[in-house]
Amino acid sequence: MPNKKRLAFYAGSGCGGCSQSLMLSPSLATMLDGADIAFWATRSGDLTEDEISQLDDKGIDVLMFAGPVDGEASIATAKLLRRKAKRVVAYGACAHLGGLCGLTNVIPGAKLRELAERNGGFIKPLSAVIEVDYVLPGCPPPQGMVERMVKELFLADDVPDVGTVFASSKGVCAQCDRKHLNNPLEEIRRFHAAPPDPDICLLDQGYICLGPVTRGGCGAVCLEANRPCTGCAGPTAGVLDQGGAILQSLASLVPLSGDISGEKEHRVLDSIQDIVGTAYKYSAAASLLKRRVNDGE
Amino acid sequence: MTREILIDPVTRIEGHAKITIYLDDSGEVNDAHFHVTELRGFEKFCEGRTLWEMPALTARICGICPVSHILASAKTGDAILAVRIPKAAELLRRLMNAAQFVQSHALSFFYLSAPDMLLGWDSDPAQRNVIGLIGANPDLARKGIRLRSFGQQIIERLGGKKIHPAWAVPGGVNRALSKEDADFIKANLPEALDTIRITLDLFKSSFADQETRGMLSDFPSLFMGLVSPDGTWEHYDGNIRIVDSQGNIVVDQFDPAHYPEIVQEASEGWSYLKFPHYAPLGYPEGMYRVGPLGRVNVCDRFGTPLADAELEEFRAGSQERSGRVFDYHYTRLMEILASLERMERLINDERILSPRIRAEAGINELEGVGIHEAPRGTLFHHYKVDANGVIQWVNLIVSTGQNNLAMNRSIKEIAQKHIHSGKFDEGILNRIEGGIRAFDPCLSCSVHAVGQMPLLVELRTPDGETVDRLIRD
Repeated sequence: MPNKKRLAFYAGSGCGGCSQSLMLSPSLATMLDGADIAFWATRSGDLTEDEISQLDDKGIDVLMFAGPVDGEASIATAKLLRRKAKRVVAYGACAHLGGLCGLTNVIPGAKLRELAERNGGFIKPLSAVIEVDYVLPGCPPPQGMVERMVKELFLADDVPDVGTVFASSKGVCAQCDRKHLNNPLEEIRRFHAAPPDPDICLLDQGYICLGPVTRGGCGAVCLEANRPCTGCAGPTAGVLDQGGAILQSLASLVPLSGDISGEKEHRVLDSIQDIVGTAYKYSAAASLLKRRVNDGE
Repeated sequence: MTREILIDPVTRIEGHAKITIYLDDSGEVNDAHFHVTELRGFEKFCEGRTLWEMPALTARICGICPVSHILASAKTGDAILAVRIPKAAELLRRLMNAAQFVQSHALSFFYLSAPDMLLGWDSDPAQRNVIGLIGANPDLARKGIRLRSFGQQIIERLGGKKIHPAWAVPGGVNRALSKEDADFIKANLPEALDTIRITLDLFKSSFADQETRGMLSDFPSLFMGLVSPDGTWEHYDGNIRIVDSQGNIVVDQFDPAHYPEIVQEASEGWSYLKFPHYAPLGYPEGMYRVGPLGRVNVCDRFGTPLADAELEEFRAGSQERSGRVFDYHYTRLMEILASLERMERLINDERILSPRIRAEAGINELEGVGIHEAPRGTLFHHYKVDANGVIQWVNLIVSTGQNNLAMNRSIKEIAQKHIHSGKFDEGILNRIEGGIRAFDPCLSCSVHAVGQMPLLVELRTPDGETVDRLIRD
């Protein structure tokens, strides 16, 4: 057993589910065997800037940062915490991708300005403001990934390579055991109108599922609960823009009608409701979209 | 010279908030404010999303009680689809909500509040948390942790994950209950029931005296909660009832869809949390309380034998309703018992295993209200959609907000009782925080239960100069 490490958990804004995911994890006890807690703070107010400043630089071995970065104060805190920690983990979808609240970046103009003003800024992923060493994806991170992080960060002698994502390099589909029919996408079906068949690939049935473009390792639990993957673990390795990737996949599933105008193909794709909320549910703040410039009003 | 005492942050609550206590010239407490300092904009960015996605989106308001938002959102969806969901789906939603009550109430009691009660209000703050509780009373702490875990495991088995299980959907639920999961629940119920009965006995034997029960303030108010058509305690469906402190029924069997007639919201510049109040009495006279004390005060009975025996003992033959904030803890434990008894009844109802769990429909109404009881109180979701089910407008009235007026009243009373001539110590501040903690406010954040929670209190002059400073770490 290596020397005990010093860990810290910090959550900025957010729902608190990430902290819960670690607290409820069977890995918590293992982690505490291998590490001491320097602090476990769930809001900026729990630790004042002064108190963080007084910690030794690089005195924390591993800092887990959860929640999005939203505004000057949280950027300053993130930078300060970076100085105090040898390694930083972006913990959960908000730190990794900006998360659900990243949708505030792309809502129509007037509302957006009002919100940004009250919130103090646009939502950003952690890696946009500081260097991030590791990523633990998910909303919240699934159990298997938490276990792997604890094992590699707190129990192993060697530290993992910088850039490690504690998830699979394959997509969610790799762990999904639904049957593949390779059906063309002729019509987008809506979930409230009819429940999907629990044994057949959702895309084959015409339901939008982000499984093909989303990092796996979660055990495809949402699919098992007969829900589509909505992309919480972010894009698969090497993919820059998760929403762009799923739209491209969907387009490639639409059969060609032979009509040069493409009208039929467009009709299928146009029937996707709420493209932004569907394709970029968690990743709007980390996407190429950045923000809405035209109010469209 | 007026001065302010600032408690920032309030510890062992779920979320970030602070308290300011205003002193007059002679150092007596003039007023106290509980501030919620964060805003995340859910009502705005849900506009443009689809109705189908709303349970999963609103779940992310809170990682502590995502189930509450999922169920309120699914019920709003039911209203917009204009369907009555299949019986199995209703029973399953009830089962998940009962599990949610158990895990959330157990978190509040064992992790957040028991340390004050069992280790002492003036005990070492560094030990006054669940870790300290494990040291002082390992058996009770272990039982409490297992009880919470039981609730979480049911949620995970039904929804696929413990946190954010978007399993309830407009029209029903996504997955039927397996025989294996039903057996798991049946097998583990006796231990859970045992734990809560032991805890209730301990609670009653330790804190029965009037002084203890009055320590976190005691004041009259209205109380609100859902009841079934015959006045029984309700956590998932039913209509609104409001009673006053004398036990008089002010509003009964009120259709939740018309909530704006009785609930209005006021705003104050110093807090992002709005101030809902009973509209006919206006603001701030229309103060009402929700949550465990609200529900227990409005109901005629729990409808299950063990919980009904507890209710009888709690009411002690009086028609009057308790206004003691400390009794939130008491009624919270009673509700864990009632939820477990309900669970027992649900899991033994054969209809719960039916595979018919979804009503299928299109968009049949353009507006819908969904209401149910979250652990912290009545929760309202209200959406308007277009013909494709795309959300046009959202209003959410969350449980914690409805206790806002009462929380402010509570901290003011506790501060007035203990702070004189501007003098205070850490134990007094902990009691003031305890007045907030009793309501178990969920400000969409996580527990403050592991590690050491620093607390900074400053006594300031009106021009911002710090005249005294107390750091707890």
